[in-house]
Amino acid sequence: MSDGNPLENPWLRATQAMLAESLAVWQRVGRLPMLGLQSQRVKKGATPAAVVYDEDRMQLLRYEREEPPRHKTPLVVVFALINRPYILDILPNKSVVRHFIRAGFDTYLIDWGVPTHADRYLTLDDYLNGYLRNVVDFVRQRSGAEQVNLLGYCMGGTMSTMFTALHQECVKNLMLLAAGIDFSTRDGLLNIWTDKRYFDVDAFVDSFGNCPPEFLQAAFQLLKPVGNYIEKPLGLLERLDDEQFVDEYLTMEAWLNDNIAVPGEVFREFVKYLYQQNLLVKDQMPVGRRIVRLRKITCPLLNLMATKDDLVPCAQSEPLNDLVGSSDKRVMKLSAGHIGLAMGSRAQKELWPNVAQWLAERSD
Amino acid sequence: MLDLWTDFMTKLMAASTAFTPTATPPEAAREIRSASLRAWAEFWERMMRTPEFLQSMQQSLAANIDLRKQFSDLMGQVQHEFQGVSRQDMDQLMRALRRVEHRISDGIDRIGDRVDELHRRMDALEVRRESDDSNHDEHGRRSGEAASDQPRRRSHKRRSKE
Repeated sequence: MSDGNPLENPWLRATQAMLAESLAVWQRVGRLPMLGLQSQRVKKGATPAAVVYDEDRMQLLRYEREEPPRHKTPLVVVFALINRPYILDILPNKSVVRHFIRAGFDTYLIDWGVPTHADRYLTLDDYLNGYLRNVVDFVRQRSGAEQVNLLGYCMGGTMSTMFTALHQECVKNLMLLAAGIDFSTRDGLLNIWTDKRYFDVDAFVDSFGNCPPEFLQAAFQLLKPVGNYIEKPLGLLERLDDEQFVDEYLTMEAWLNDNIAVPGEVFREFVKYLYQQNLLVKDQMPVGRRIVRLRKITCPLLNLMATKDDLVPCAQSEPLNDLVGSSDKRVMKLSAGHIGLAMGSRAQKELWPNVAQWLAERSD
Repeated sequence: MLDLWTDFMTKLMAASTAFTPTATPPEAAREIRSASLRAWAEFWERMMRTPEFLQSMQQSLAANIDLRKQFSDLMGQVQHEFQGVSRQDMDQLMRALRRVEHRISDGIDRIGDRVDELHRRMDALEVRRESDDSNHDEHGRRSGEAASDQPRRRSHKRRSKE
């Protein structure tokens, strides 16, 4: 044992560290009751927006801006049918939408709404050739532009791809964010779990109708059980004294647990035609009476993907660039997860300003 | 499965000694915890890809579907006993409506195709009529010109004779 500085004594140092840790733990535990109050402060959406068009349960939000848009071609953001779309504008410092507003785009976001049992027979044809087509026509008419820019996220990216292939004349630029295209990859667990030997989607939809949100939530949580059920709560407990971290954590959790049902027939089409038969890359994907042919996409394409995405691995998105007829096409990758690609700090600093610039260079 | 389990146990045991010797007890505990959780995460990731897990998932889902079907049938019977409308009735109605909707939209598509075909034929007829008219005008103009040219030609002939 050293007789000099008491901190050089390993036993004393260890004891002191343990005491400090115990004190910190008790302080954090003392803050636990405040979590309830903080969770009530969670906001859904940072930028003011107004509903400008609605049809059945679908609503089209237009983000307000102080000055007139600098670009004539508006931007329509197509979100997935699985979660709520406010993740793209969840906090002022984590908003994808704000990058485009700042870049001078008239920005719209589609909120598909919460389907009920009455919507279980809605198909991709209804969503693409019905709702989305009507939204695009409305935005074109309102803005006076002949075409719109499309940004699709996750399942919304797959839908935007199909829509562009079916209605290329309406789309000026296509941007995809973690969009599943080639489902033959076995990198992701979802691709394995939906294998037709183990998952009878017909029996499932016939019995449940719409795909229940709890089922989807459980499947997503199981993708990383240790991370979601152990590491995440432990991380919160260790940083309970960091108010900003707690606020962001609660906001994210509120969104993650705000799952909605997927209309039964759309779920059936997605699982059967895409996950099980991979028809999109084979140019055999039926949407209503039409077949989606990816070569018909000729507009500029920006394909964004996350290298640590466990929901839509890069191998599922990247093949699109070789399948479209566009000559102007680009891939941007970021070391992030599925949600981090949209609202992570690195994405906000490095990715989205570049994406907005890419779009500005190609818009009137 | 046995390999997976042995590999996991080896990594978990190794995790218990995976800390920096100079670290304080809380830091060492964090390092051990982190290594153990990594071992667990890797185990689950591999385990959820095994045929055994997939089969158990399939069986549990099939059992859930059966249970739900039985419950729906029972609820349907109860509703019918009380002259009520069950979810199955609503589903049948929705399916019938979708079929009617498809038939109507198919019919409209067929009519649309026929109208398009008629438009094409009318356009072709219009083009033909216009070309006939212009041919007729051209012919008329030429015959007019020919008539007016005749004396000149004659005079020319006459001149040449002269």
